[in-house]
Amino acid sequence: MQGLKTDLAPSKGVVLPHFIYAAISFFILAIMLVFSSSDLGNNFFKPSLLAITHVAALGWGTMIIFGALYQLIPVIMETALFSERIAKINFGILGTGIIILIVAFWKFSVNLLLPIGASIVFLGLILFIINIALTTFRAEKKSIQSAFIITSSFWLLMTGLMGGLISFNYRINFLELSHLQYLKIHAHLGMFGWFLMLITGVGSILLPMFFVSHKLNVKKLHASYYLVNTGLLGLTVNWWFFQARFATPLFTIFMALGIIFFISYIYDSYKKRMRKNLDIGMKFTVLSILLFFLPILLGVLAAFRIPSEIQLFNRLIMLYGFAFFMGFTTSLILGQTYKTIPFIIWLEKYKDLVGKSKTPLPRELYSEKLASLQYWSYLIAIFGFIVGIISAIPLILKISSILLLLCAITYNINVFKILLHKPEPLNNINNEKS
Amino acid sequence: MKISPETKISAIIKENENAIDVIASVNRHFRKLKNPFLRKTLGSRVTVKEAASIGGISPDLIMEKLRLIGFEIELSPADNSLNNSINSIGNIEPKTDISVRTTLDVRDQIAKGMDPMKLILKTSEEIKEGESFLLINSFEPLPIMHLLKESGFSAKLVKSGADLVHVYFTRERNSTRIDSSGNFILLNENDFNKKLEEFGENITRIDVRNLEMPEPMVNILEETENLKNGFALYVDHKKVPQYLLPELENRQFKVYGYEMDNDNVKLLIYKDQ
Repeated sequence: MQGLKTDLAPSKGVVLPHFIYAAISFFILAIMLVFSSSDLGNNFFKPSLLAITHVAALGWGTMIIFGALYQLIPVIMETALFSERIAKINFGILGTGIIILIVAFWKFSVNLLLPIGASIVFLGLILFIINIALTTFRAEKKSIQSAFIITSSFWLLMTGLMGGLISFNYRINFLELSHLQYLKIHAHLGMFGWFLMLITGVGSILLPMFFVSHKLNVKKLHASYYLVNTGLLGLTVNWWFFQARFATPLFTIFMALGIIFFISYIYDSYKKRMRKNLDIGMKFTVLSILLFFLPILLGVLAAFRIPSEIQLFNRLIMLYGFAFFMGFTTSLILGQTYKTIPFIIWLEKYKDLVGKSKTPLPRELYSEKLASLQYWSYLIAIFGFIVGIISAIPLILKISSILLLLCAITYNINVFKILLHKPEPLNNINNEKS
Repeated sequence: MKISPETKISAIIKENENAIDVIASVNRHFRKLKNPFLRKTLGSRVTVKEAASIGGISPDLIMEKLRLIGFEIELSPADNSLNNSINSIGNIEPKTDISVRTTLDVRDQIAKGMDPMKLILKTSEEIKEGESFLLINSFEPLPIMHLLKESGFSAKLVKSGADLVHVYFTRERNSTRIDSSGNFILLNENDFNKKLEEFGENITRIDVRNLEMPEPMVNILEETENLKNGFALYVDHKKVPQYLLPELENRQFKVYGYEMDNDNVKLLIYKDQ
């Protein structure tokens, strides 16, 4: 019955730096891909590819997710973020750590820079999980989405821990298995524990909100939660301690089923949507879900050791990781950026004026034409990459990487256009106020 | 589980869900417990003894019913009154040293089945620091006592008869006023509908559930700008609008909300005169 605190939204100083860091990371990522596109046709264990993967996973993916999550916590948990100060310190630490880590990979300075970068990143992740755990703890509203978020941040911490162990192993070699085995665990913890878990939690709220659809079956999300977590835990424990042959296909099926439940939930939301016309943000989002089938399929095949020919197998593993990061998560982020940043800036600039005078819509804060150019360059690039990686033809990879760079440039222009948006002086507002 | 008059109702329900039905069957006052929202707000604050007091019955009666479904009774030596309360049964005119600015007798309203909450809150807002008002009621008004304590009042309760209670509310110095603690109040279905009835015909209704963000916010703010004095805007929304609430507060609107289910929230927005 008590009057509730209403202003739960974080200040923009917490949220926006993450978006800026991520946008610039995406641009750098695209440039790195142009310079090393031919490496994509080879084995994945190369300094350039390790660097690119970490720019994608940390600088691009994780940074923007942190920013978006801070913004969305009031909507999901109906409470404010535990500490904005921790979030800001966290941004500084993580931002620095990522740069050191990327340089370490690119120069392959595994004895010195890598353990330092990994440790700083890990410190940032610890701060993040403390902040999220205390926020969840305080929230009265407990939903399956909160469970996804807190579980994903736990897996993120495990990913960081695993990465840290590997980085020190180059120097002091204390782990007993091949480092590729640990790398496999590290990658899957990050991909499915962190990214997938978090995307499921946040996406299952945001996507129905943007599609405008009601009455969805939350049981599917519960099923997804238990299946994916069981599968991931099973895979991790098995890969680390037992290496039992039968277990990998079994737990992979668990995870694939869990993901299908999530996709089915989103599909219901898509089917029941009130808004039939998809804007650019939602086009990217739908594309992202479609692209997600590729890594699922490749992951299941790989679990059954298909194909048996080793060179093709390695290329498909490359495609598996590439499709997950540059296909599924990147297109989702590209799309959701258009749904979130314009709204944040619009809210800040126009909330006082709404209802009193005519205000622009959030989507009028960016260039629709550039966004469209971005969409098509991305779409062609990603299919080019798929063909290029399977066929290992350098020219296709090079052209695709240039198209992706075009996508990154148009994306950055639009993001900064939104961030630097200035409301046009409207005379009638001043008249009304005076 | 052992229970005593000091045991919180929420702890009992947590132990055994059947306790809801059992307690609700004791007295019509307790049927409210079947409402999950009220159960959450009241259950966690009120003890068996306080509940019995609200219902105007002996705590033993509730405990006896609970014993039948498997609870053990543990007698507590604690005194038989709420914090700060004086029991002086029999005295019609209680003697205290508190000077009262306003006296509010809500027994008639209660008898007619009306909710005096709004009147009490309104009265409380007029009370300055250090001042007091007297509330006369037919039972111990625990919810309002808790509510006002949270907004900086101390309460002194005097039981003046079987159906007569005097409560002296004093606004402590340096306390926050209720309107600064937020403009948004979540209600249960009954209370929300009562608020709705208070506005009678003076309601503008809009449904923003099928609009895409930020159109719900834009529509609501546009409607509130056109809202006439004494009118309220009744909104069907999908969720509690986290980004809209601060803006409504800036524009001096108050909001009552009722969460029907995960997809339906009803809001009543009005300007407090």
